[in-house]
Amino acid sequence: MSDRSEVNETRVKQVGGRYGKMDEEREDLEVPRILLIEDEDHIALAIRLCLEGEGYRVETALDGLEGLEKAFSLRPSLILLDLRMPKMSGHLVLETLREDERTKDIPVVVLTALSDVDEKEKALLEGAREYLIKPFTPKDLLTVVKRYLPE
Amino acid sequence: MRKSIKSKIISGYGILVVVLVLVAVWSILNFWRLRSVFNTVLVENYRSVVAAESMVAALERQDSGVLLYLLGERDLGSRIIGESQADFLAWYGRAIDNITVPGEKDVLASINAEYKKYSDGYLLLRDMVVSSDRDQARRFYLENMLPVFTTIRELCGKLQSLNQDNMIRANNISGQEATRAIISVSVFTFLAVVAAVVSGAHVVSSVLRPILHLKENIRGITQGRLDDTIIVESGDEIGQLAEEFSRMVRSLKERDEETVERFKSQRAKLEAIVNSMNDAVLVVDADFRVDMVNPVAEDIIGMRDDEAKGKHFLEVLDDPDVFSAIKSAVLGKRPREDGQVRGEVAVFELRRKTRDQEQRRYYSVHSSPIRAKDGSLKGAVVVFSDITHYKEVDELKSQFVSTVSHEFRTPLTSIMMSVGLLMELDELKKDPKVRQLLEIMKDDAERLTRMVNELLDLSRIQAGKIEVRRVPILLRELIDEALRPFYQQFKTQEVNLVVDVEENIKVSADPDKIVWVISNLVGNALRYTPRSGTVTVGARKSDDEVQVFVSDTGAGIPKAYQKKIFERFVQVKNGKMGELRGGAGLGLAISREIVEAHGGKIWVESEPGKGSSFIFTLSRVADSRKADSGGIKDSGATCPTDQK
Repeated sequence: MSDRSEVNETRVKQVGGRYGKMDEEREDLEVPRILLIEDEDHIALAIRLCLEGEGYRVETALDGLEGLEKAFSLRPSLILLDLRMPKMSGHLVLETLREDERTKDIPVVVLTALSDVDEKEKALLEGAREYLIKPFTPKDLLTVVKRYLPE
Repeated sequence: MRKSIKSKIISGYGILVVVLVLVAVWSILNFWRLRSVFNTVLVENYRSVVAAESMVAALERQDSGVLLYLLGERDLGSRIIGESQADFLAWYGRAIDNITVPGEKDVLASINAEYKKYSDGYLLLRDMVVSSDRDQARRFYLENMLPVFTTIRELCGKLQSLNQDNMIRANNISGQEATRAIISVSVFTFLAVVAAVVSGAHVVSSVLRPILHLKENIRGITQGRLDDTIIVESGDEIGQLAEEFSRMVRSLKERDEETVERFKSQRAKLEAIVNSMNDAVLVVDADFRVDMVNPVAEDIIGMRDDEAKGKHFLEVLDDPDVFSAIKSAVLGKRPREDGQVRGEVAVFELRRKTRDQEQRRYYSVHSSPIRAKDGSLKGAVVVFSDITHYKEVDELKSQFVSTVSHEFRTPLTSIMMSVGLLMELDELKKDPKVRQLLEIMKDDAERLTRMVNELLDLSRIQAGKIEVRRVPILLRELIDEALRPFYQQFKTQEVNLVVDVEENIKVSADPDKIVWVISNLVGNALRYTPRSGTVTVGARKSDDEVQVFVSDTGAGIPKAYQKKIFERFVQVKNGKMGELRGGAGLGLAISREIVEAHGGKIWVESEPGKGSSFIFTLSRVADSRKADSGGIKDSGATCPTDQK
């Protein structure tokens, strides 16, 4: 399990190499950690770059299962969660996060392409703090993130 | 045998006349008989009495003449004797001619014989006187003639009394006759009266009976028994009337049968049409009891026509929603302009288990009321059209559109994120060409997003997922909610926003949908309004509706486009700006669907060059404190009106 997550982290770091300003050693410092659970790697990358540009540390998981594992191990300050994912749906991830002692207080912002009222309400009922409807701009994203992680 | 009323009446009166004549004749006969009795009494017997008295008188004068003669007065005596003798004989002749009473004849014969003796005696006496033997003559007179004279007188008296007795008897007889006449005339009259009454009654009844009979017959016909034949067995005018009447009834019956026949064939034709229809047809009466179902409908309700007949609609199709929709359509709660409700009133879903799987079928329900001439409800025709296929295709389409637009969002997100990030890079910001290209990318990515959103909205509306759930709510809250996301945009585009809405106007609306409509209109206005222009959002209220308007000071819309813009995929190219700013051209089409689903109207008033005003109507809710204005969550903190 841990091997796999390491591999993934490495990959993300490699992809975002140009913007990766921080060393591994400085990761544990005050900069809040954001966990992004998103299966679309393009979006994942764009979000990561956007947030890292603002000085946030971002961990990325490409499916729900991996996301859960990272959430439990890293205990990030904020989780951005895509609802529509293969293997394990965002809803299930959200429920699991809410039920686990370690993660139940971490704010979750849901990213979704489904703009139905039903979908939003469902996510909010399941414990999400907020939802962000795709497509969104860097400005939209940062507005929401800053609400939970003030600098 | 066949007598007219006239002859009946005449014969009735004829009997009366005959009876009257008979009574008269009988009375005359009786009078005549009485008169003959009087005749006997007054004339014949009286004559005999007079004759007897006159004979006595003549005889006494003759006797006086004889005495005179005896005394010497011979001339005078013989003259008196001659005269009296003639007198006596004349009366005697009359008496002889007038013999009426039995015994009278014998008396008269005796008188004649005695009188002859007396006359002979006179002749002897005369001879004695002439021979001057007076004493002898006197003696002769006393001895022979006087007794004869007395006898004659007695005989005459007898004759007189005979006749007088007869008179008394005749008097008695006449009395009896009169009594008899009274009795017989009375009896006869009584019989005549009875006969008259009987014949009168007969005439009346024989005239009235056929009339009464005819009356009974007519009543039967009025009650619809056209088969009753009119039998009036009388040849009179009533009989003729009855015959004419039966002829009329026959022709009425024929026409009636003709009408029924025509009606039947018409009905058969209609039934054939209805039965061959692919749609299910269900006819109900005014109480919503089934009157008829066609084979397709039999299939749906799983009941045969004759089984379903008379059952209530809900007994054959247990779907209260469909029923109430039909009911309200039929009872005219949703009347169309032409007074006919012909639109779809409901969609009915039928799940049926076939051998191995559940089959789902959808029916579009239409219903029309059946009204009598006076407008009263007689029933309704309910038509179920199988729209399963359309529904499936439609669902597929919606699903497709939904999937596609969702799928589009993913790449759109990375594009927008990337463009957004690029625009923030200082190296790129400096180059105006790059900057311009990035702006184009950003604009079009945003436009694509709008298109995707609109497509999604449209697919949802068409799939019927969006239902209008109306609640009473303050219009101001809806407008504030719709404007909130735009405040920033107004600022950056330097467009003025004016909100002109009374605080307390309450409308009946589905908050989400109407907020969507207002947002869409405001978004459009903002897009087409140049820098330092003004967008006004306001409302005008009337008694039962509110007109909400969104005006701008943009380029305006040419007249030719003003109706078209509410159709799908239509947008006005803004020549002046030369920029592609719209979405997919679906926003107004969706707005119109939402407004119309609320029972309102939407239109545009515009003058090219001066701006446009989009107006839609909502039904107004009377301002009452009780009405809860809840509807939008988190709308408690109303945003301050941003005039800038």
